[in-house]
Amino acid sequence: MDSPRTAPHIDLLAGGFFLIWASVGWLSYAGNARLRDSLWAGVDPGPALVPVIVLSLLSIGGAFLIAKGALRRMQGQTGGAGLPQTQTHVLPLGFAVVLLGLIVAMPLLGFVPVAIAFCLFWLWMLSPGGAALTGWGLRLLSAVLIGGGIYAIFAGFLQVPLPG
Amino acid sequence: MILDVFAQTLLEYLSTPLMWGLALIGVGIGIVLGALPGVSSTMALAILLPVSFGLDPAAAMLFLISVFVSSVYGGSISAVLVNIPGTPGAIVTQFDGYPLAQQGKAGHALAYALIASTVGGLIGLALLVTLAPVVAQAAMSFRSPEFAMATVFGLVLLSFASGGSTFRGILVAAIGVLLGMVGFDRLTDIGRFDFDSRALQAGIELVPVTVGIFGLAEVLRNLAAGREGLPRVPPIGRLLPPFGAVARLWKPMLRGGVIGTFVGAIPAAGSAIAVALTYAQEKRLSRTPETFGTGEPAGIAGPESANSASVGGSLVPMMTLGIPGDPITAVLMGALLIHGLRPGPMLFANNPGFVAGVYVAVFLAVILTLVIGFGFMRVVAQIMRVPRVLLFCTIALLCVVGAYAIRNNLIDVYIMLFFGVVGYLMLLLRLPPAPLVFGLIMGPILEENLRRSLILSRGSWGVFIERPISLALIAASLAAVLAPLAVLAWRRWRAR
Repeated sequence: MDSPRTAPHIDLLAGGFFLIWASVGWLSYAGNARLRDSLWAGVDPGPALVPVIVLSLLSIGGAFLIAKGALRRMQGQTGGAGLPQTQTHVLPLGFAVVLLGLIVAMPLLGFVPVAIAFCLFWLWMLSPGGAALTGWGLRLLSAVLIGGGIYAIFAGFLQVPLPG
Repeated sequence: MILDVFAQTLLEYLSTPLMWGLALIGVGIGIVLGALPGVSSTMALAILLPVSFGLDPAAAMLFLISVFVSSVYGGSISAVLVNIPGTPGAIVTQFDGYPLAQQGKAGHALAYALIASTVGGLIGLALLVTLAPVVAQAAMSFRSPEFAMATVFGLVLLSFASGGSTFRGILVAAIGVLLGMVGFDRLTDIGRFDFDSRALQAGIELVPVTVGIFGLAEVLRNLAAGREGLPRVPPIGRLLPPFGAVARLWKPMLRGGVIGTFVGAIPAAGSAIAVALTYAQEKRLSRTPETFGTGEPAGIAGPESANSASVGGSLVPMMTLGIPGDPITAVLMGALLIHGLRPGPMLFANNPGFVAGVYVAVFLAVILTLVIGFGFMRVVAQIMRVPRVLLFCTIALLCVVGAYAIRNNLIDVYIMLFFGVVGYLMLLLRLPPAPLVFGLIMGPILEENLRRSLILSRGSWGVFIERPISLALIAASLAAVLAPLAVLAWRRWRAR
């Protein structure tokens, strides 16, 4: 049913990933009496039919992956692809957190200043000594061009009412 | 008849400054984004999808198809210059393109690629114009059961082709189908998976998910990979190879174009398979196969023709059956749905002008890619020297603004960020993210047709096996799921 190309711990994690989605779905389904009662209530199979099929598929699939990972782990198998080789998870995590800050600050401070601050921060973070864009003037110019350019295209040309 | 409509639409587009302006901008952006390693054609389309909101459907498709077609050529620029394919379709171009660049003939390699891309693009277009109406006509006999099973078949095939195991791809697609059901059911007005949240009651829009999965997640992946810069970009050198050298390549270009179109037309086959097949074919047919891998022009021309031709091919199932052949056409299909147009046979019957517009868009994109490609090749090579951090910041901000633009709502931006992180997590867990978008796009179509079939059959599931096409599609879906297992079992049996 599933090829053993991934390591057992990846099977376990992937199975957990699917089960989390399935659990959230079942939780919502269980708490929705109108949806539950609609299943085959009339000629129309109802809006619950496909959710039930899909959630069942996710639950069975997730459980299967976990069982497979656990079984292989108990058998001492360690082969298969593990987590992809990466230098760091801190940078992507930090990038996502700073982006979250940008989204929170956008309605308060406006898009352009927040976008410029975002670019300046990452141009500083990702341009270590010796690399390109080391001067603050160049960084500021780049940040203004990126932030201002995107604002001009979307707010000016496409009439998107961006904050600020 | 087709040529008349085509010529009329072409003239109309050429006499409208907005249209050819959009095509020019789209081609320019597409070449640059395709040339930048780390920016796939899908990512380019996803982050530019919001730009098309304010345009009418024909203009939006012209812009997006221009980006699509030109980014396919753009991918070969980085393959030739820095030995990193910018797009999957350029994966074999580097085998002979990079050695030529190392010999000081980067300009020649890029010219072979560009000319072959043009020839392949035109072959793909010719077969699209010829094939699409025939397939659409055949699909006219489809009813709800056939459409439901065609959607299942498409989802299974796309999960199969997305890398990793088909089973996991199907589970990821299931999450996409689930997301497509968030909000009020259109028939009964019953809320689903909304947790009584007003934000979720309106449903989850395609764009924030697409931009998060294909745009932001890729930026996060690139940051995790920690690639600080690209290898040095070599000088382009002389651009135009001798005429005789180009003329000798007509056979590889023709073969590549035909293979590319037909492979591209198979849902989920994709340009990477088309170029691999073409390269193998050219090497097999060559009198000097030993020159392949050392800078053989036929090793560039054949695959480049194939990857451009696959664009036309991939539009066939999307336009005629509503099955996107790959992630790129899934984004294009999303753009059509956003503009209220549902791809499928009825599109040909109800909106022939729009269909002709798609043909013209492909034609203009192919020709403009040739013109801009030759005119600005050196400029693109310069742009490749731009620090990647500038690219990451620009893409991240485009993701934010693009998600916001769909409903002018910050909730969509949070959803985009959430799916960016989910997409990154999926990459870590070796789960293909693309089926999630396929599921989101095709889920509502599947549900609508499934329920309609069951209503008409008074609840009998037999309706799906009583009709021959529907039954054939079920059998093909099962075969796609079971074939990898059969191969695995066969290998194990042989190993014993």
